[in-house]
Amino acid sequence: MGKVPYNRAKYHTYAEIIELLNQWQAAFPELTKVYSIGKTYEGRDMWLMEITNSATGPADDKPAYYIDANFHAGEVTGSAVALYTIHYLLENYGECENVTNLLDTKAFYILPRVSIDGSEMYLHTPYILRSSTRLWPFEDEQDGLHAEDVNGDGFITQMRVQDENGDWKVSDQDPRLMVQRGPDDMGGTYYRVYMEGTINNFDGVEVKTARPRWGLDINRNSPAHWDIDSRQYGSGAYPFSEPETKAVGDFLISRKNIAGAMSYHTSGGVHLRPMCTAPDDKLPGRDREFYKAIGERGKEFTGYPHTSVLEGFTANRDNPLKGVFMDWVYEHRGLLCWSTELWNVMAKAGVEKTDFHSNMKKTPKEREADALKLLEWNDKELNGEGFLPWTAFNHPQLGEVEIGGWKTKYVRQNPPEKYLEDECHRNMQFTLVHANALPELGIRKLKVEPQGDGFYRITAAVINKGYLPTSASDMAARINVTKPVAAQISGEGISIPVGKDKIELGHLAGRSEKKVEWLVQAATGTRVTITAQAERAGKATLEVVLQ
Amino acid sequence: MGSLKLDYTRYLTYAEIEAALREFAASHPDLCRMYSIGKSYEGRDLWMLELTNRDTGPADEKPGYYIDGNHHAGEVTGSAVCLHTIDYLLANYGEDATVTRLIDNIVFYVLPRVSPDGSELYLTTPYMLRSSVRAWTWPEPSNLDGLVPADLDGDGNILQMRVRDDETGDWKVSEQDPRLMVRRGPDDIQGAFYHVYPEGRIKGFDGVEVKMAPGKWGLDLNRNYPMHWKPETGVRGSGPYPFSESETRAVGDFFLSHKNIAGALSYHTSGGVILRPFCTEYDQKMAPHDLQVFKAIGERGKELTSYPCISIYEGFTFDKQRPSAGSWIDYTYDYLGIICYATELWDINAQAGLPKRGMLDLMQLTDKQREEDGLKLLKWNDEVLDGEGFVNWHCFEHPELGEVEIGGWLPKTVRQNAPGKLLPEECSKNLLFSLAHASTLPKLALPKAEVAAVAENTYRVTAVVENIGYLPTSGSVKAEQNGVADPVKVEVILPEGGKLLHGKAQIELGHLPGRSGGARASKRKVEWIVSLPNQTSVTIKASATRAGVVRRIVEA
Repeated sequence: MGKVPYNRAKYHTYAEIIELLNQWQAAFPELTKVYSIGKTYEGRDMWLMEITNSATGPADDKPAYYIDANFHAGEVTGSAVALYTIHYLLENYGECENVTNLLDTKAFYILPRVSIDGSEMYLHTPYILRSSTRLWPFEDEQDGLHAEDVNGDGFITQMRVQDENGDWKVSDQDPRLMVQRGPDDMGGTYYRVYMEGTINNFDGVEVKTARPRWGLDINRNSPAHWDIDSRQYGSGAYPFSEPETKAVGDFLISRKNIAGAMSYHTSGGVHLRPMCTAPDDKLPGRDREFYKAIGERGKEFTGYPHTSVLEGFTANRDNPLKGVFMDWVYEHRGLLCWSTELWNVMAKAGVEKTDFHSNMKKTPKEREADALKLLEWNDKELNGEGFLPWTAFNHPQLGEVEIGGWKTKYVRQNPPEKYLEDECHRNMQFTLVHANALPELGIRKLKVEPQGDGFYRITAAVINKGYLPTSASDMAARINVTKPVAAQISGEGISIPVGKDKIELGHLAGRSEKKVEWLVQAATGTRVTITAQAERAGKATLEVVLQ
Repeated sequence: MGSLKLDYTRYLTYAEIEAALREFAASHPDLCRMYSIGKSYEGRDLWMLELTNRDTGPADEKPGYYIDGNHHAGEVTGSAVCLHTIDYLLANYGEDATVTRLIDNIVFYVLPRVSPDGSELYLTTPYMLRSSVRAWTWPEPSNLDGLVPADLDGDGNILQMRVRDDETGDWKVSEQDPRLMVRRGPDDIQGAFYHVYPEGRIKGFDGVEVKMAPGKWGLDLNRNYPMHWKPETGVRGSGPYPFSESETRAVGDFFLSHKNIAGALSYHTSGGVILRPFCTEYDQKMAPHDLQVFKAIGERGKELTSYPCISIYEGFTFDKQRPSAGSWIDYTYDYLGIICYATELWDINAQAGLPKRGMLDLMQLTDKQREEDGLKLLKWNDEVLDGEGFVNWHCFEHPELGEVEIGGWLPKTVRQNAPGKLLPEECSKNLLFSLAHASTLPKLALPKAEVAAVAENTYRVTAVVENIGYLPTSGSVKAEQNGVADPVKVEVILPEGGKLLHGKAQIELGHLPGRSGGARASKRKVEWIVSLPNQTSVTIKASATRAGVVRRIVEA
């Protein structure tokens, strides 16, 4: 147990998150700052926690790692990992060498929840929504089937209706499971399967699915490759049209020390990375190699594979995902950014892991076998409580139906709470791998050689101790979004007869060094300070007295 | 099996190769001719051995099969296979049916060493270089600062140096084997870390930054051919202009002046793979016939050598935007339409029991997999080479870097080329593929030739011309498309007083498909009506530059 009681097996509401952040700040004042980076559509503050050891310098002077979660309202596992990460870093500072070193030399910016309004609805009502609660693109209710908790059991599941032309039937392996009717399947009992809900403006015949009231996807609302709603569902009126995305974007631009990023989603159990719209051979320089090295190392903790969205997560390459946040972070800000799809329920149920493309190709038989394994897991591990049995119900519009199916929220979209801590701990470790790889400047090999007549030749090596280049990625160097390394000499009454006191060194590759040299004229005994600084690699200083 | 003349457990210098070729030619004057096809940059003769039974016809009236080795200076296994091939053919002529048939029917042109200057430097000094000893590129590389490889400890090898640096070192010692250096992970913060550099001196060292100086010998002869050639900005080492180098120019001219060449093989190292065209295009751009032929002959190569046959562009080019343009294989296939291969000899990974991986898979290996591979290689070194392939790390006081350790794999005769004791096997299995390929060349025959009287003094001359080879008489569909192979011609030669009553004595038949053409007929019938008042003996001659010349004398 730590200084602040923290329940690791729980999805926290907005109010609970605020309380936790405040408690942590009170308990660890020297390590934390909490501030709002903006307000949501409904006016809630977006609280962010900044973590670093202030005794070793302010966050601005250190390379920083950014973590956010819950761009998508229902993907609350992300918030849990973000909070767990805060908890772990704070409680282990001074205890665990890795954490201590990280907070001494780096800063973390952790935004536990981006789509707060949506998550509140998700956590407090039966509704499931993509992100914001803003009605969009239509302010009025569309005709057709809308999700509703019709039977009032607190869950929106599914409805099945017997129909000789139905496209579904009951699996002969398990009566709970609905399977697709085959093309030449005749003479049996068939069903139509709908989501549980009511039909707006029903004509008594046609049941079409309406576009949800909350049609925004704020993870398609970023400027990189943004496209209009008809070509990119949910993208919003224009890039950063939503207060949540604009606040996140402005924050990333304002914190020039951010050198790496993670944005949490669910589900599937995969570490996704850019690019969403271009293949891997278009990644500049060594970025592909960096992603691979970090991904392979991180995989040792999570067991999740890593892939680019286009290469490994896009069914139709002619219609890639556009306006995705991580593409903006990588392509416009030049930061190596991950987006982890947390929680793989199928793997938990013992379904053999296959990649996205193989999954898409599964036959109806293979899908049925997978679903049976999932039900078996539900019976064994969840006492069968993850699946609501089909129960007869008299639907106000459709008449006699049965309502039942998976409790989506905390079984499929998010882990049941007993699995949460494991998911959090493994994924937190993945981010610590990336944070440890950030660029970090240092100075060594300092040498002062008196040349007579008050002249001193001062040489030193500016080093990047980090694995990544001082630009944080080769993309950043290409698009020129971050200032390169500069070394500066200063001291009371010194003069520089040749050259400049501030030397621009360009960017330093990961784990490399460059030499700097000054000729200084100064009185004996003068204290001289050498500073090396880069926006994304922090600041290093070294002092010497001229003798 | 006849016995071989040379020892194939060692690599021969230029003088030794020259002497060996002279000895072959002198001992088999009926089968061999030795001549120079040009001179290297430093003035060495480029010795070629021509091998055929001249009693069955002169070389230029037979389909030719060309073999070379050592376009790249250090890839000396290729020269050894070339010499072994000559030795094998001579030793087995008259003994082995395949060898006898080949020497009677086709001509071999074997050029064991294309880059003799570079190979001489490679074999007689510790240096390694790509091909020519001519300094290249611009600006003059020797004027630039940086690390220049050199044998510092005087053991005759340029190995590696490891330099302890716990802050910025990117390597560490494997926990499994202290000889093996493995990559430091992205979040590997504390421990003993090292820089690993090639063994060498640092020119213009500022006391801090160790960068590599550009190589002094930056030419790559196998990028200096004219087809798809690109300057240095597009292809490294391509030289100032196509055929700028005397060695490639000599090879190129040899092909142009020997139009009978219908098959070619160039030896490189290493990797254990038989490479085929294209270098710059996907397979779908290739004529289906040629692709099928490349695969079919390549498959035979795999059976004989265990080396897979792959397209250079598809399987051996990591960056599709930067293919290996201007190579020998571009010239021989894309331009001359000759079915040709480049074998990367010697597969150290297979020897060590590693799984066969494509080059693209190798690039994708994780650091963990690389460590496992490294351990297996060291185990093989210990068991098969008695540990002699790897020089243990030993301390050395470096003039610029201070305390360093020098060690690592012997680069020349373990990694780049087969160790001596494994060389004979490498030679003998690979030469079998060249004989299989040589057996596919087009070959003209006259299965039927008749002279029959149709009236007094008037005769019908009938001939059937057939391509009895596997390949078409053009050598390939590419050659037909490029118009680089003369078509089949058939001619009736009449005795004195004879007269052709219609048409032409010499008829152009176009090209005849070979067995690779599937159902397409590989033979054609030709007829003449002639008047033969005196003698009734006529000569039929069929010829095609790549399918040889055949004559038959027939009597009425």
